[in-house]
Formats: sequence, structure tokens, C-alpha cells
Amino acid sequence: MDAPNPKRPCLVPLGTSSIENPCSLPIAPDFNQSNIDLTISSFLSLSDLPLFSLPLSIGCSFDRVLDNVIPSIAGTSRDEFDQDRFLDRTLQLSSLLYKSTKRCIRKRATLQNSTSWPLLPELTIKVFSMLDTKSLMQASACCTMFNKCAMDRVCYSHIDLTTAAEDVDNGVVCVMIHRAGKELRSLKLGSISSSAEPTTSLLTRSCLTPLTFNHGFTGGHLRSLHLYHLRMIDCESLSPVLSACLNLTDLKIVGLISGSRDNPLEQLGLLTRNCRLIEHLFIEIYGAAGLITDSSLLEFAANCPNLISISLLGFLLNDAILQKIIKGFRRLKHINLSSSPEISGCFFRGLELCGKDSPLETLILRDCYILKESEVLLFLNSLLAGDFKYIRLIDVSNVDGLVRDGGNRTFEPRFPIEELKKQRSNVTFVAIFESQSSLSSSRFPLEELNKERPGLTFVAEFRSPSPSESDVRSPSPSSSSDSSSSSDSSSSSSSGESSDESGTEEEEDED
Amino acid sequence: MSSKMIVLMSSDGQSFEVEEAVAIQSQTIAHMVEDDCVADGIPLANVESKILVKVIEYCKKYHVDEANPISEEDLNKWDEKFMDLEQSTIFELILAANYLNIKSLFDLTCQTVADMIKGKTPEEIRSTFNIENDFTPEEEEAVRKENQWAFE
Repeated sequence: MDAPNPKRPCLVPLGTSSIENPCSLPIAPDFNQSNIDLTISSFLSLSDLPLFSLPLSIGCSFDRVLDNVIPSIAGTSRDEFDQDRFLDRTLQLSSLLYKSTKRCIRKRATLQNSTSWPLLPELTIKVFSMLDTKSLMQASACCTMFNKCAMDRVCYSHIDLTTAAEDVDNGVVCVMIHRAGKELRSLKLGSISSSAEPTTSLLTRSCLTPLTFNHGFTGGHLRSLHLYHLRMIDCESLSPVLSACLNLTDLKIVGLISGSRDNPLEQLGLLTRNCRLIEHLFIEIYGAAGLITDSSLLEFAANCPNLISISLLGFLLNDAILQKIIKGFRRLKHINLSSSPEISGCFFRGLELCGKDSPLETLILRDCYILKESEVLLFLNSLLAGDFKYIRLIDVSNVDGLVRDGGNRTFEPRFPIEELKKQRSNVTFVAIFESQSSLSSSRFPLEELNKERPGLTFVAEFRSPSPSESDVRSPSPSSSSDSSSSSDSSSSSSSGESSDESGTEEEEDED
Repeated sequence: MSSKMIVLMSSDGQSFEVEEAVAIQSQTIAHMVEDDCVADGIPLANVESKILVKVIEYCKKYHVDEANPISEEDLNKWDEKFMDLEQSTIFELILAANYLNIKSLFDLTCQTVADMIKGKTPEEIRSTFNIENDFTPEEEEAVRKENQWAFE
């Protein structure tokens, strides 16, 4: 409390015998700090007296004292002023006591928190860096310690705003990027659940512009960028951003809007022009049209020599292009070209030469409408002959079955499954030809299969009314996790995320 | 098959004999082995026996050799069961994994705590970890306002 002002009328110490002897005049005893402290602690210990166990009785005592003191100041009109001052200061005193008590409560709470949460800031920050950004904000509002830790840059190195997609606007993105500063490593925006009309998103085309500020300061630190169903995101708006992200190794865009004039591969070349270090590329494009030319592929291949996994969904790629992709990217391990209506499978033929040493591990061609049974057969035979020795996952599922020679479609292709299991036991071959309408059919015991052949999982469900037993097996939950264990990125797990009719497989996989 | 054994001594005086190959998953212990000061056993003043037992259990499981390959999925399931512990034990494990510098255990334990925070409101987080609100009303208001989007 402040040093006593000698000119202020001093109060009668309340803890003393003022009740018995109401003084006529206020006294000014010898004030020093320890006297004050003593006075205060005697006052506070009032509540310990059994006489005052009821708040009502203390209240009555206060009333009594105040009523006694007031008349003692009364007298001339000047004394009214003194009375007012006295009462104001009494109020002030009680308010100061209140605030002090609250402060004390908070200090104790802080102390208590450091016992309940025994991690030092450095470790707390590490835990916080594993949270999605919305949860991080919730944590920062818990207590002062959390708040302080949550402001550290490292917490924002992996910004994930997908859990609060409806409430995030450009300003939020800007603030988060700014908080990350040089610690920014990955950024996820948008809403992951696929919706054809993301009308609720508040983000606009320029939401990523902060990455370009300061000559691309934060953009240059970014390693991974995932964008899900952002409105109006097209190559034109993304190019300037990606040119600032020179160290990007992982790019995923679900719902890229195709500019109708340029062919999609050219747009791709434009996007990746500056990202020479890119290793994982996943793009699902909407509304692609236009001819694919070889030249655009050359540029693309030249831009990204380090590419390890590529997923291009909705691009109108044909067999020639696919062949060039497999040959052109020397380190390519994971390919996902699902929903490519122009791929018939004849690209397999051209791969004999590079087949032996190909580093290819994953090949996913789901729902390629004109994919031929005979071509897949050729490929499987080349596997049996020893080609593609690194391959681990092949997926040719198709809601509409495969094309049989002669133009019909088949839901029961004849594949050399048994030999494949024997010779290439660590390959997972997925071929689901069941449409969503017949979900309830055959579920088979997978435990047996997994026990017998832990390395191999073969999944093939057939829609036909009388399933042929020899070829029907049970789906395994590890079919997609196998491949994701071999690759960091999204090439096969993404097929679950993005393809719309994946309802069946998802259910099987979760078995 | 003779494998070199190391003795680890917890802060409360218990000794544990562990294969060297298993123990050097801890970078701290690995450095000590390199510096060749393990003859009389390694005293771990910061790790209680109760926690050291769990750490050793983890290291044994993760000491993968070709004879017993384990699928990643099985490991994940085992991790889940392993981390089904009391909160205080989880925190002790974080501190131990940090002190012993075992990256995978450290990441696992931190991730477990992070998962306990995800998706909760501040009130729920406080209640989970027995934390008290030590903000002034003004401070709390300011925090919520600054990141309003997260509190919609």
C-alpha cells in the first residue's frame, strides 16, 4: 500500500477495540510498514474468530463501526466533505483488498498449474507443435503458461487449418503464417471432406499471398503444402505463390480448377516451374479439357527430376503419356492415375525395357474406364517373369469392371493370382469390381489369410450374383497401409481421400 | 549367442540388465557406451524404476531384427496399448524419453498428450489436466478475441 500521507485523516485500526471505544477523533499512530502489515493481517484473521463465522455478523460489525465513525467526523459542513472522502477511501480500500486477493488466487493457480503440468516450456512447445491450429488456439486460452508457450514460433511450423475450415479467412491464414516466421514447414488449408460446392469457405484466391511477402521469406521455408477444395484456386492464382516456395517437397491440391484453354499438363508445368525439389505431387483437377501434348510433359519432367510419387486425378492422360512419365522420372516410385478415361493399359507393353530395374513400388489405376483385362494380365505376367522387382501395391479396382477383348466388360477377370502369391508374395494386388449398391455381400474371414501369408494381401470382390469362390478373397485392412508404410506421402492413401465412389473400399479397408 | 549386457540403475537404486543393442536406442546411453564409461553400470538419476521399466519394455519391442519382423500396423496397435497409462506416468515418460534421448518414444509420448488436447475447449483441457485458469478477465477476453475464429 502507499506510504501514508500525513495530511490524510488516519483511520482507526478496525481490528482493535473500536467496538467498545468508538473514538471521537481519528488518531494518527506511528505508521511504519510492519505496523501496516500487522494491522492488515489482524484484520484478515477476523474471519477466523468463531464469533464471526457468519458473514452476517462481520457485516453487522462493519455497519456498527462505520455508523460510529461517521458521526465522529460530523459537525460543520466542512466535515461532510471529510465524510465523503472517508467513505470513498473505505470503498477504495475494499476494492484494493479485492484485487489483491484475486491476484493472490491467480498466483496460486499458476503455481498449481506447474505441478499439474510438469513439462518445461521447451517440451510443452514440442507437444503443442503436434496440434492442429484450432486446438492450439484452444490450448492458448487455458492458462498463462499455455498461452506463453503457444506463442512460440515452433508451434506454428505445421499449420493445419482444415479442422476449422468454416471459420478461417484470409486474415487468419496471414496471421498464422506470420507467427510461424522462419519455422514454417507445412501448411494445410481448406476442408478435407469432399464437397463439390465449397460455398462455405471464406478463403479467396489470394489467401496464400503472405507466403510471397518479403521476397518469399516464409514461402522459402515451406516444405509441404496441402490445399483442399479451395474456391477458385487455379494455376493462375497459384503460380506466383509456388514460385516463392522454392524448397517445396510435397504439394497436394485437391480441387484445382482447370483453366479451360491450357491443357492440364501445361498448367502443371507452370505450377511446378520453380519447385525443383518437389518429391511428392498430388493434384486432382476439375474440369480438365484440352489436348495433352508431349512438349508439356518434357517441361514438367525437366522441372521435377526428384519426383518420387505422383498422383494426377482428372487429368486426361493417355497411355503414351503414362509411359513417358514412368520412363522420364527416374526416381518415381508411386503412381496414381485413377479416373483417367484414356488409359487402356497398353502402356504396359512399352515398359519391358525399363521394367527390370524400375524402382516402381505402387501403381494405382482405379476407375480407368477403358482399362483392359488383357493389358493388366500382360503386366502381371511380366511381374511373374521378374520385372518390377520393387513393386508392392497394384490397384486396378473399377466400379464398371475391366474391358474384355471383344468390347464386353468383365467383373471377373482371369488373373494368375495363385502364381502371383507364390512368386511375388510381398505384392498387394487390389481389384475391387463391386459397385456401392451391393455393399452387403461377401465378407470373408481375413484373420486366416493374414496368418498364412502375412506379406500378401489380395483383395478382389466381384459383383456378379454367384461369386466364383476360387477368386474371391477377403479384403484386408493393411492393403492401403502397406503402401503408405513404404512411402511418406499420399499416393495410395489419397485414393481413399479423393475418389468419390470409394465408399466400398473404405468399408472393406476398415474391416 | 552372446550379446553384450549393460546395467542401468534407476534413481531409486534398482538395477536392470539390458542388452547393449537394445539400450543404445537411447542416444544418451549410446554416447556413454562410445565413451566407454559403462563398466559399473549407468546411473540414471532422473529416471525412477517404475518409468525405467516402461522405457526398457519399449526399447525391447522396438529392437527389430530380421528374425522377428513386425508390421508397422502391429507396432501401432502395440503403441496404443503401451500408452494406456495414467497421466502422470505419461508425463514422466516424456521427461525420461527426453533425458535418455529416445526420439521415437519421445515423439510417441508427446503425440499421446497432444491427442488428449485435440478437439477440446479450454474448459475441457483444464479439466483433463487439472489446470486452473489464472488469467485476469481482461487477459482472457483478449486471448479469445485475438483468435476469435477458433472460438466460434
